[in-house]
Amino acid sequence: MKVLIVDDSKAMRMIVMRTLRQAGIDATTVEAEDGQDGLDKALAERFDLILSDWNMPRMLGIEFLQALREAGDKTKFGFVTSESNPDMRQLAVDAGASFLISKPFNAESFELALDGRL
Amino acid sequence: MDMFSATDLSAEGLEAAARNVLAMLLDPAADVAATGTEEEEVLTACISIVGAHPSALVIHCTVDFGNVLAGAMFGTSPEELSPAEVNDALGEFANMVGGSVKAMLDGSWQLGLPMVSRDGDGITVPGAEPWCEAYVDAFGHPISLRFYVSEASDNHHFAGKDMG
Repeated sequence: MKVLIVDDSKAMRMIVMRTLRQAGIDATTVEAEDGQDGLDKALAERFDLILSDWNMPRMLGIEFLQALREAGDKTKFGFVTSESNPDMRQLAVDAGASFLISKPFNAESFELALDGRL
Repeated sequence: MDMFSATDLSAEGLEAAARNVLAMLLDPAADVAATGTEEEEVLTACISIVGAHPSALVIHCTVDFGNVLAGAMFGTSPEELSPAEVNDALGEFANMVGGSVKAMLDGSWQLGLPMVSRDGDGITVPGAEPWCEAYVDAFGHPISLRFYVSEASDNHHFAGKDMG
């Protein structure tokens, strides 16, 4: 499986990669450091899953997802974010996200979010 | 100042939020002994949380703790980390604690982007007063957390580097 991990924190990208492994997900990962970088990479190559932060410089995660869908890309998309209130969850779902994992998270968070979605 | 009287935000809640994030980031079985830096230099992380009133979470810790935290997050020896990587790790710690704090506030609030300063006093929250504060000991590393709130109603991210 090929996963694009989008987060402006390199430390968090490392943790997401490590947690995917702990969740038993065998993934080849590509990193992007903000929404714009994520959009560029997502449109340039095919991924099985995109995991994105919400608050990032240059382009927010939600704007990244909206731009991706407007471009006709239907790659499975999940947020991994500190933003988790009901309004934002609804906004994410409306924009085409499959799930939202709240920080802090653990391997079980990923197992539950990804169960049956891959 | 009674603007948060209806919320669950308290010193205990702030402490619990920090402990919850630390439990995710720091493996209890890991070697998190001090890295041996001599200085008592302080790292300061700040993230604004805006909604009904401007507010901000400010976290102070030692460089030693920053090194331990970053080492755990990057999965490497603290000695191999750059200052930028330590700042990155502490900023993400502030982001996650800030998200938990936000969830305790009534109404609609939005997180800003975290800032980290090495000079200790380079981050200001103008016009704001501490609402609550908590202290956490993470494997012998002291961390202080303060949640500031301003009575101003202008809804902008007001915490920033003091350029003066």
